[in-house]
Amino acid sequence: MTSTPGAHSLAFRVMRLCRPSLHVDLGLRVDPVDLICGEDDVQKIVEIHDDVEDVREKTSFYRRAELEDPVDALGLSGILVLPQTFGSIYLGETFCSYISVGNHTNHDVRDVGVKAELQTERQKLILADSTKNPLDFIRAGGRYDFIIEHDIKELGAHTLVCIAVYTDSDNERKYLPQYFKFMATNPLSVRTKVRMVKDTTYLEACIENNTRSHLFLDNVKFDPAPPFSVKVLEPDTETKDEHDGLLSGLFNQVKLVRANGGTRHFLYQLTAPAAEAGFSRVPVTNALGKLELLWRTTLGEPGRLQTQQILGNPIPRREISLEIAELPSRIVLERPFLVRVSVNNATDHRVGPLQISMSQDDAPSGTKAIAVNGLWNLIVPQLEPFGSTDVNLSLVATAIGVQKIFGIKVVDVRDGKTYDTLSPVEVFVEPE
Amino acid sequence: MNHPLMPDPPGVSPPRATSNNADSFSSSSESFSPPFPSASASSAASTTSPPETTSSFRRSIRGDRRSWGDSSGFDNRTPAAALKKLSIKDATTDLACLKLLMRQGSWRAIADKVKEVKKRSMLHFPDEQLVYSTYLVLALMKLRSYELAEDELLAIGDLNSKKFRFEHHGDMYPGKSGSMVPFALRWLQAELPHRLGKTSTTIDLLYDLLAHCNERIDFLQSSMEQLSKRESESREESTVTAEDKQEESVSATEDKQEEETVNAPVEEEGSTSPNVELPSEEPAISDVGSNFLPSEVIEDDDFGDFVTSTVDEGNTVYSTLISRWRRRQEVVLCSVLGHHLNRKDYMVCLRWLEDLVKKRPHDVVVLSKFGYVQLLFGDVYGARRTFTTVEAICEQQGRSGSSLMARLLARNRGLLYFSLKQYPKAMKEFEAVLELDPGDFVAANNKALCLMYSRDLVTATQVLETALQRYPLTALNETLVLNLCSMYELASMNSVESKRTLSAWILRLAPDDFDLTCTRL
Repeated sequence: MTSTPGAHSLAFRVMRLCRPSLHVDLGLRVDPVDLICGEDDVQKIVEIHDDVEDVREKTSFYRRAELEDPVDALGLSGILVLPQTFGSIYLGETFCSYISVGNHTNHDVRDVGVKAELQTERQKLILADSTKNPLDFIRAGGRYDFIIEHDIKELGAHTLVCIAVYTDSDNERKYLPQYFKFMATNPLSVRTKVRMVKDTTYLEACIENNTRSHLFLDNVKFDPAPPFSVKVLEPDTETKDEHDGLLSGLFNQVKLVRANGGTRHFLYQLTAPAAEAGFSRVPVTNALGKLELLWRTTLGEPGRLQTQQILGNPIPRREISLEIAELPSRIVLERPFLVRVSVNNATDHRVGPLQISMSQDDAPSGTKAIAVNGLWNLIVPQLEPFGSTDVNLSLVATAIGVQKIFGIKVVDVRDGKTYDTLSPVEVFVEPE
Repeated sequence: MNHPLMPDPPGVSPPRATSNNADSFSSSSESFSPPFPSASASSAASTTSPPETTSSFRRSIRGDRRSWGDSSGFDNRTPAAALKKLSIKDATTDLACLKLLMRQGSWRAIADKVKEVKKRSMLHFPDEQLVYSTYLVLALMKLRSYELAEDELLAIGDLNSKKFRFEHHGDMYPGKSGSMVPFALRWLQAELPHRLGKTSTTIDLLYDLLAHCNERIDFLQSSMEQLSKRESESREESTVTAEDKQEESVSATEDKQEEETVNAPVEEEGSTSPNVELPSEEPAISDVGSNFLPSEVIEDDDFGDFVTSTVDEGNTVYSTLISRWRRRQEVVLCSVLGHHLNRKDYMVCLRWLEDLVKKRPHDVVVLSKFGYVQLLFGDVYGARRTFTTVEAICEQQGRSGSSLMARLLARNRGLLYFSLKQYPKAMKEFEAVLELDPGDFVAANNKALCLMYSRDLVTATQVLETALQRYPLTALNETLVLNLCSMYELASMNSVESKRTLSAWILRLAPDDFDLTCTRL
């Protein structure tokens, strides 16, 4: 519906109500003693000091020019100042607005219904609605005020639509919509790096502030996905608290992320509980968890965001894999030796039959030094889900020195698909 | 042109404008039919006008004039007499006149007077000339004529030159030595670049000035040490010269001064304590003004001959100067921190303030400021810990009962509740402050904001208007007026008229340096 043509008796006035700020007053205030005598003029200083101590004339503007307490030069009297601009709106913040609909004419209007909606690309939300219970009237010169609050959960264009339907003095039913547009942008970027050291996963998160104001990080928490448990790794904050009594604990590290590109890093250690025998150690999914951020700006204006699931390293875990379980401690030239190879089934269904063989292709650098001695391939008839079995391959080395064992692979007998190839293993072949 | 500071003479109605609502600040009446009750009527509201009338302001002007006449806990003299412009011949001396003009905020008069006095070449003493020049620079900066102030400073010249030292002028200042430059002039010189758009220069100059203060303090302290060392070496009879007479007349006050400087501060704000060093680059001697034995003549380059019959007098001289320089040092430090805050360098401020707090662990004012900085960047729970500590310190020192402390604590709590969006509680705290001191414009302003954030815009404007009308000498503050004008803009389509009326009212009462851009006209 479009606005009823013609002049309206009502009008909307809207003001964003983010928190006010504490005003810093850099006015020029001097200590009178420093004004009227030389800085080293002791005698005069002492004379005047007494003079100035008299009861200040309460009937003057002396406070605008005279310093009473040196710390007043800081300019922080504690006076609050209303936000002077609309400012930027960020995802995760709460949009709060004062809406006032006023009757600026000199006649009353009746049966007033007021509605406030927030429209985004995806949806339309009703924030306030009094159309079911309309006001009997708004007097000439009167007003109806309300405050709306909404957590910003989407990026992009938002439109605050304020609608009033009323009966004007000429008994005409009128419709007045007013639109206030704003954009919601992303305040932070989070970059992560995952590293695995043995069984522990380390997650490094870098939080970058894309806004124009400093963000105070009230709380940064990593919410691990099961089965992980998390531990934050941070440098030991100075525990040497020299103040006993009242001042202890007041001066802690402040997590402030500077505006326009400032960053802070966090390190988390994720451990999964020890795998039980027979079960694969790797979790079925790769999800490590979510990072939750709580920040505040002026006077504690809060914002809250959560990342999506952070995934671990995308190492493709093969369904069926080969591992060398045991190698002999000494390998002697032309003496056969046994290599125990373990075949693992990482899937949840039975697999088999599988063929473990050593390929007969030559090495790129010449003939293979280590060859199979005996059966070229071994068959594993079946492997249970998450099961594993060991096979012994008999090999013999034909040359001394550092040689590689390679080419051992596991293949599905039925479709010939190679599941895994053992990465080359270096061994030292001794002469006889 | 001088602005006469006259209120409306009784019987004459306020200046007329074309429309009927000329005398009201807000052109829309506060009559309305809200579906919900508005917030509780503020105790500071002067009148509650019935819905049919057009403006509350006109009504309250008349109502308040009556109350001005009564001695409401403010002052017996009516503001009418108090705001009357001082006529120059009332003052006994030119300097006293300047001082009164400064208190009134008649900066144009000050600038004119200084120029007149200089033209008449009445000043023979260079230190007097400097004082008048300082007044002129201050007046020009207050009037926001920053280029003229810069010219004047250039005309004065290098503040460190020899011609500004007492001893350079030989017999004009017998016995005096040191710099005759009023410290305020140095400070103004440092502050000026910020007003010309070069804030970094101001910050650098202020840090230089801070170093200068540190040097002076260290020098004075080492001189005092030498003094004690010398007389501990020999206990000879000290020589007496003509200086003694002067010293004796001063010593009575100096002794009192020493008492003040030596004891730990017990005054209510618990601010300057000379026993505490502010951050300085060189290690400073901590013991001030304790046991000293009689000495003889002391000579050093900077001070010339301070001859004393007892070393106590010499030490009180040093103590006086040291405490004065310490005070200056703190002013300079706080000024530079103010600039850092303005540029949102919160961490720098916190570090300096932390230092200051550690050196003065009982100074609740400084600790409260620390809390305000925490609030500024959003550490609400940190600020809460700080304010709780402030209350604990007050308790411990048994100062919670004093009105000054009670007001500070209530203001702190009010700000904390506001940050947590607990507006009714915040308002209660600010009202408690106003009970103790109705002229506390910070509490009045913050209370008005509580009302506005609680959806009661009309009462909010009333609170601010009342504060202005009743206590113009404190409430005439650019931030308060800015908030009021922002509220007018929200309240009505036709806010320009209200703001113009307010502006006209301010012009009649305000001092010369009031910055009318805060009305957003």
